[in-house]
Amino acid sequence: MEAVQARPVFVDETGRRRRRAARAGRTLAVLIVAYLVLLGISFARPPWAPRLSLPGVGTVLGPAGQHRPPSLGPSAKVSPLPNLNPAAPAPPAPAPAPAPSTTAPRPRIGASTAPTTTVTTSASTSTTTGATTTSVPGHRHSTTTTSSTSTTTPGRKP
Amino acid sequence: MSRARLLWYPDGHWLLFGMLVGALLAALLSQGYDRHEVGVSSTVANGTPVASLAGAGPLLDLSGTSVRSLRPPAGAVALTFDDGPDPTWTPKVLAVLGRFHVPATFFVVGSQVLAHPALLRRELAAGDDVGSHTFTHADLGAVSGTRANLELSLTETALAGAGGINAALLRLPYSSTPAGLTVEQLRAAKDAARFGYLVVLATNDSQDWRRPGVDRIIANAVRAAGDGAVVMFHDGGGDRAQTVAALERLIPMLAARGDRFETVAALAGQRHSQVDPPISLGPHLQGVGLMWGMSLALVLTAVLTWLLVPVAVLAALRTVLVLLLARRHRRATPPPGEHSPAVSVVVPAYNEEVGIAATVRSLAASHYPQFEIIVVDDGSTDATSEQVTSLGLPMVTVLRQANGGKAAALNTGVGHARHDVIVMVDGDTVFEPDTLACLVRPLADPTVGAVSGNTKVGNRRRLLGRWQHIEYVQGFNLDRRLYDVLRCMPTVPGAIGAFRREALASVGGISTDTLAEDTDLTMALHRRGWRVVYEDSARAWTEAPASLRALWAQRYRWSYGTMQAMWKHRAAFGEGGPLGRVGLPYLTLFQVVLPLLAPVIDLFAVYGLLFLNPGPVLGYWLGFNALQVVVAAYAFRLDGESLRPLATVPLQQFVYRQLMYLVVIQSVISAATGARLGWNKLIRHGGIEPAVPDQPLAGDQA
Repeated sequence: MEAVQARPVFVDETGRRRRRAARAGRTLAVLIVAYLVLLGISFARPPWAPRLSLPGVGTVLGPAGQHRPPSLGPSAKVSPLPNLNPAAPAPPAPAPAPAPSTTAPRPRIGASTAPTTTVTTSASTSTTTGATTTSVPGHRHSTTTTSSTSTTTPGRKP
Repeated sequence: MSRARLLWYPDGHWLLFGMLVGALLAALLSQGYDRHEVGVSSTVANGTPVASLAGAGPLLDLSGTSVRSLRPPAGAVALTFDDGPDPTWTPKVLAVLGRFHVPATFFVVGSQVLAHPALLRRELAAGDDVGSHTFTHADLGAVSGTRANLELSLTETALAGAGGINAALLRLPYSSTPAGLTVEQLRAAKDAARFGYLVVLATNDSQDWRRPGVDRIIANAVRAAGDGAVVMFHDGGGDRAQTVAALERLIPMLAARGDRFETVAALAGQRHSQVDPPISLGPHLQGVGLMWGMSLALVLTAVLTWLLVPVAVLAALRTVLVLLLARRHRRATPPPGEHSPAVSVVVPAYNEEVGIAATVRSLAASHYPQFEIIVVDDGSTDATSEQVTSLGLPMVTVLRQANGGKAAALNTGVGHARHDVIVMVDGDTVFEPDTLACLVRPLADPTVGAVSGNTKVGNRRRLLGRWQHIEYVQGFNLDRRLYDVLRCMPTVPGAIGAFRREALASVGGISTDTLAEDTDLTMALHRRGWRVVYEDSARAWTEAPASLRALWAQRYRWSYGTMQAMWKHRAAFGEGGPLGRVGLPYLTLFQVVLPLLAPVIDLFAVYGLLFLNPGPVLGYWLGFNALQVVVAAYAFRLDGESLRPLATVPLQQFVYRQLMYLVVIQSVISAATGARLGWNKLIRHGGIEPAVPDQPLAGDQA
């Protein structure tokens, strides 16, 4: 502050300090509002995940947690599951290299002993058909048929 | 201090202060949410398992009306890791996976992602899949729907910021195999599925979070040869050395028997780019912003936490100092001898018609051999002069002058005083009969230039008056004794003080430079080498402000005026006297710095009650109050006061304490911005509003 003693103490007749303080205050206010808006948006927006198009794979367990033995499933509900059908031309899914956009992914060896990777979706699961799935050309390697577990039985304990 | 003046208030700073407090609170709260509520690693949920899921596969598509479950193909094994990223264990897990060229799926905790975004990027760079494990490892089945949505959306924002992706896979905390999924969790999972999530459970729970030993983890992780598996491990949430060691043995073991390692995405027939699709710029920037915001919150919380330390240290130091020195003062003060010089009592008065008669009457009734009373009417617009003259007391002189401020009135009074000892008294203060004799007695010592009396609050029936009573008793019986022992009394209060004429002359009378002319004058006396002492037996009764508004105005004037006086006399620092060596540093620490830091305590009180165990928080609070009561009780005992008003000390924490520090903040801002002071606009407490519409007014009469 001034070297020469002002009378009265602290008073800035020019108003320069006040203007400077007001400017600093406004800047701070803008930053604070931006910060609060950012937090607000982050805390207020609804969740949204990419919807996977699983083409009706898997076992139907019945509506929402109701018990429905898988064995009953196939009859009615399973029908729209094309890829459960072994013959079906496997879903487009596991197709070509999924290469993550980022840097060099770990070169995958399927388990070294099993050079073949089943990428199949279709995986298996319990349907009456007991489907052996088509295996699709794995993105990295070859294909194999996978015997599926075709459980008609009410599900094995995991 | 019988005066009220119109003060210039800086604009908008309270709005800014409120915003600042709001932002700090928001930072603390988001930080508290981020840090505190993080659940523990566990795969055990409370609740009834869903019977129909007992035989289901580990991947649940709940988007339709019926539950579809997928099973991994035979021979395919997906290694999954929950609760990361963790700065210690995630790199170790990645290293093992990298060595064996095995892909994995990481179910990450959003708050951990914000804290360690680089680790998330390493997982993605290795070609691994990333899924959501909620933001704080919350049991989605046990929290409200709103909270559950928040857990999901915050994690999405974190993933968008850290990895530029939007994850489609979700693993519920405290879930493991389908057989263990509870009804509540299934409901939460179905809710999540509405937003697009595919819920991933496990066929094998390695139970590594229990740290059961490497062999046990491996045994838990292995299924019958040829069966597909989704195996659950943890790369965060605790010591995962056993997990890493188990992986080292498990991977070659499974590989040897022909199992293939896959990501969860591949099991579901999905590509990496489908379960972790890149996100557009907007959400990415928002995520980056959240990362910054949370980092800022982390820094702010750390700074605030560290500020608590100097606050606690300063407060403790002051308590100890005050108690020790007050004790010493009490022992060291010798009984004063007789000393009764002729005294001129000067009473500056501006619009004091309510109290001036009582003041003058009490002065006139003093048991003292020789004294005169000079009332200086500083241009009052009420009947102040008439009130005094109508008393018809012979020793009383009334001087009238055009309004010039309290300092000018005092100087006028001193100029007309006939005697060499001047006693200054506010126009609303009442003396006891022997007050005058007690007050001037210390002047027997020729080195003493001024004596401070002991001001007592007269109106202490209501809460505000009682609080001020407590404050006055402590201020006069502890602080002033301390100042006296250290010979650095910063203020002889305007309500009651005795001065040697010679001392007043040596500093050129009373200055109008500051709003606290009493402090200014006292400091000037110190710098001239005069001793300033405290005489606790000289009691004057004053009327404390009865409204918060009046109290605010009074304290603003005191606080701002004291700062002005400190600044004006800052050269004392280099002059080596007790004022510069002890007085100014003491005032700076305890009247400026400590109050400025005090809001931190309130911020943390809110934080503590919301996010910490309320037991210890309440304990600290009670301990703090107990200490205050003990200190106050000692002061009350010194002054022979009843201890009953001390019951209101805990209540002081809610309004009074805040007012005391807000006023200091206001003063500092006024000083920094060079606030202009409206001198001579004098408003009676409870009086009429002045005709200056656009400026807030400050009025009081204390």
